Amino acid sequence: MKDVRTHNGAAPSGKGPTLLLTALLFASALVLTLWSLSVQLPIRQWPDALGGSDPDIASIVWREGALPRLAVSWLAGLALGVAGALFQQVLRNPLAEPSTLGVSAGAQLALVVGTLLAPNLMNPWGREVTAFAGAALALLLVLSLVRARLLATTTLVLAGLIVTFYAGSLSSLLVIFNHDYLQTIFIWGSGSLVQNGWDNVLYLLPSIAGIIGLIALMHRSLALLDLGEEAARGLGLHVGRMRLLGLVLATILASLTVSAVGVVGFVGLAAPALVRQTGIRRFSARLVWSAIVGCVLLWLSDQIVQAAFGSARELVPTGAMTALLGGPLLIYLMHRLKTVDINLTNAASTAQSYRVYGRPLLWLASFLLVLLLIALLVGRDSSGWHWASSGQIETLLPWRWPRVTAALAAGLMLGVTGALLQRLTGNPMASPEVLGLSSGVAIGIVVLLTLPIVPSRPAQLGAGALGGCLAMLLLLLLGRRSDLAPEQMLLGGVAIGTAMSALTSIAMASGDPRMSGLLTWLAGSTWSVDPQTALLAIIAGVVGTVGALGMCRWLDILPLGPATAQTLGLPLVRARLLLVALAALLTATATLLVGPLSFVGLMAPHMARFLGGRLAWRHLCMAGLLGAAIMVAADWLGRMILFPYEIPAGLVATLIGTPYLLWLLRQR
Amino acid sequence: MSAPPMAPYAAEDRTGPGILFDIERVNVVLERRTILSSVSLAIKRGQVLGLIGHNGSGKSTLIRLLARQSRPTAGSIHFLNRTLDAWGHRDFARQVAYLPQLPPAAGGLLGRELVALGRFPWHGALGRFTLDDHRHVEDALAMTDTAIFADRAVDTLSGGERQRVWLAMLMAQNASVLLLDEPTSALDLAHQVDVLTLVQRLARERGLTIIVVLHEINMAARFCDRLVALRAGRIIEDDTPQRLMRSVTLERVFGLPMGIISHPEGGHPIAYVR
Repeated sequence: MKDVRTHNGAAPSGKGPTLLLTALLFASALVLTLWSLSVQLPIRQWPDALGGSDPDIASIVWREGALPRLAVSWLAGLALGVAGALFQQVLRNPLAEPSTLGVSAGAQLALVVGTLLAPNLMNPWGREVTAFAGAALALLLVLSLVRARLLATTTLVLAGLIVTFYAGSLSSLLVIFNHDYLQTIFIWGSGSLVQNGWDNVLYLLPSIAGIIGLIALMHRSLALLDLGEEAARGLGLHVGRMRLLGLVLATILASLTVSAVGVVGFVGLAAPALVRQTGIRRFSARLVWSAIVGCVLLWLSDQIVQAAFGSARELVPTGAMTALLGGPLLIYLMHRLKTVDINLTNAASTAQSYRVYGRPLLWLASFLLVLLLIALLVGRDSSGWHWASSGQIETLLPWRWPRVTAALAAGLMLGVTGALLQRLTGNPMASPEVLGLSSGVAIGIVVLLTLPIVPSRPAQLGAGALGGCLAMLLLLLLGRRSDLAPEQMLLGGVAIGTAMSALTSIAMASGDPRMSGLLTWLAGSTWSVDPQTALLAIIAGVVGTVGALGMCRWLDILPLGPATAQTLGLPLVRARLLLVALAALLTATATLLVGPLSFVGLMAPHMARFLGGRLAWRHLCMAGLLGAAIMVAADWLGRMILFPYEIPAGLVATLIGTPYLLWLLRQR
Repeated sequence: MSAPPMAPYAAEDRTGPGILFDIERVNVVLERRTILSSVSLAIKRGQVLGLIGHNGSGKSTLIRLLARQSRPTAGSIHFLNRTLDAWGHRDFARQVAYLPQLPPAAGGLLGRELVALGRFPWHGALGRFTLDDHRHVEDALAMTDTAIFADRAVDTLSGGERQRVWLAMLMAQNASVLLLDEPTSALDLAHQVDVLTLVQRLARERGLTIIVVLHEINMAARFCDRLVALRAGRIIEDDTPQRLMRSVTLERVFGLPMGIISHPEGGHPIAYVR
């Protein structure tokens, strides 16, 4: 692991341009604000409205809605800017901020759970305590995952973003089951700044001021962390205690904003990054400027959302907007990181595979067959568990076989695609989900829904495949400079995933009736699959697998890196493009069936390696069989666990898959 | 894609018989930094040619150009009278094999499986792995004394053993030209001698042409027929080891005061830093 020198090392691109940019942002925010305030209420009525003497409904909305929203955007932006700068200082990590560390998502999940279990405790203080507990737990989880490698820039953020995904999946599970009750949580959860009164402001102002006061008292000690751990300790600083204090304060700031306005991502990343660009070095100066820039950034984002969505401004969460901009920013910052932390590839590929005696493929195939029988024949009703009797089979089978087949096909395709991608990138952590391929597919499909076209299956498939291809090509282009360095690619994929969830939040919040099925689909349900679709899916799966097997010679050579591939006469560009296209098609088909987040494409190929899938053809076959098995099992479990309720198969697989991913990270 | 029939070197050969690589006034500029400037070189069949020079002198860049891993900014490179670009992927791979500086992790492959990948240029993406292919793999293992590693995971081998397995893969590729980029950089002294002796033997027994980047001047002088020295992207010396191993010349190459003594056994020149 190399030390992270990039923290302050970003070449100052000149104070002038950045200050100018900040001033420009400030000016445009100001202009937009004045404009939107005057649209809502003519200027000559402002004094009356402010005095509260105007009983007109427009002026009440203006006073109790527009003005507090403005104030909250300032306060939240300021808090996030400070939290980001503080996290970055304490962790010595230029990518750290509440949303990349999983802190915001943890707070949000805690609030959703709290609202369900103890709604009466959810007064401002109760909310804050709950949010802080969730945030702190998430941070603890992330830090414990990377333990020894606290300073490994990208690993830490990777763990944070995965925890964010996981908390997000859990939240959406809760939302699905409590739809009527929690639907507003979905809007709020994505960072809505809508206010109906001054309560939030009056509560946020003193809390944030207090925390910032504490930070100000500590700023000299915190600044010493710039010198690195050992030098700071040499100067008599209690580094551990300082870190802990800094983390606690930053987490409080983050959870305060989450409990007030929901998750607003990336302001805490962007503000300190912009400040660093100016070449401001001193920590106290960085802190102050991060606060100011954070404030301006959120203010401007919120004004843009209000201006762009006009009458729907109450519904489109500002946080989704910042997340949409944050994804590309994260990719950009990552691109500038000159250090590559560790070589994941070597770590994983030297792992010994277990010696499996006999014919592992045969074992896997029989295992899958048994699972299929169980999935088709074992069920549960009010009186308990049953094998379907021969009489029942005829009535049950038409209901069960399409969805089981669809799950099988999706798992097969994801498993094969995962193996294919791991070999294409030479990266044992690659998968359609992790590399953002699934997210790209989802973006394609969501975009299609907004177009005035009938979203037929072929159109969805085309749009999905196109989205997937674009995401993958973007990633390959980005990774070219670092020779597809594993962690960079993973982060890029996660960034694409963030953009995806932001987009879907906006789509969901827009209230468009066409989006109603979106959440169920995103969670990955197989219940709506009809026989025809199931048949097509399995055919697609088999054809795709055969296609991938046809390229297995390439796939044997590609993990050895582009240099070796080229010297062996492999047509590198053509091979990569063909494989990317196949991967995108397979992922699009599978994603249409089970949603974008299942992590089957990560788990299956990885297990296949453990079971001895060294050569490509065996790796692909085993990964396909394992993927199918996992998905069939997830579908069946989803039907059974909470009977008579149903958990979508994709969600079950995610809930199993994410811990597996985190465990993998921890292994390194 | 089958190779068009072609004489090894045609009658209208403008650079004389036996010339494999003909490099003419090649420049490489990366991010406004000149890596190679006006490099011209003709490489004959059957030579063991060593590229020497200090870090950043451009020797790795030059060998990567020959391996078609990157392209020159200006100038031309001909291989067997055809420009490099005119060669098909697999046709070129049947002629020229390249070993990168740090062979990548082999992803759990066993020795034999890795060596078998060297047959790709001959059977392609869909062709059958024939008896002939099997024979070449076994030959390559035998020739490099790596048969004992055939059933072991390559990633578990030591640095020197791994290097030999990779050389075996290059052998299985059955190319007539080997480009080796610092094949000994990660090895201890015993393994360095081991690998270079192997390289020299292969060159003699199979009439291979070998172009090798080497760091250590004494190793280079001992194992190569011809040494080409680069400094700041230019060729500053091009001679036999005997004539190049003079203190004045070496000072020019390495920018260090160097001296020469003769080896107590055999008498060949040994360079040392003064």
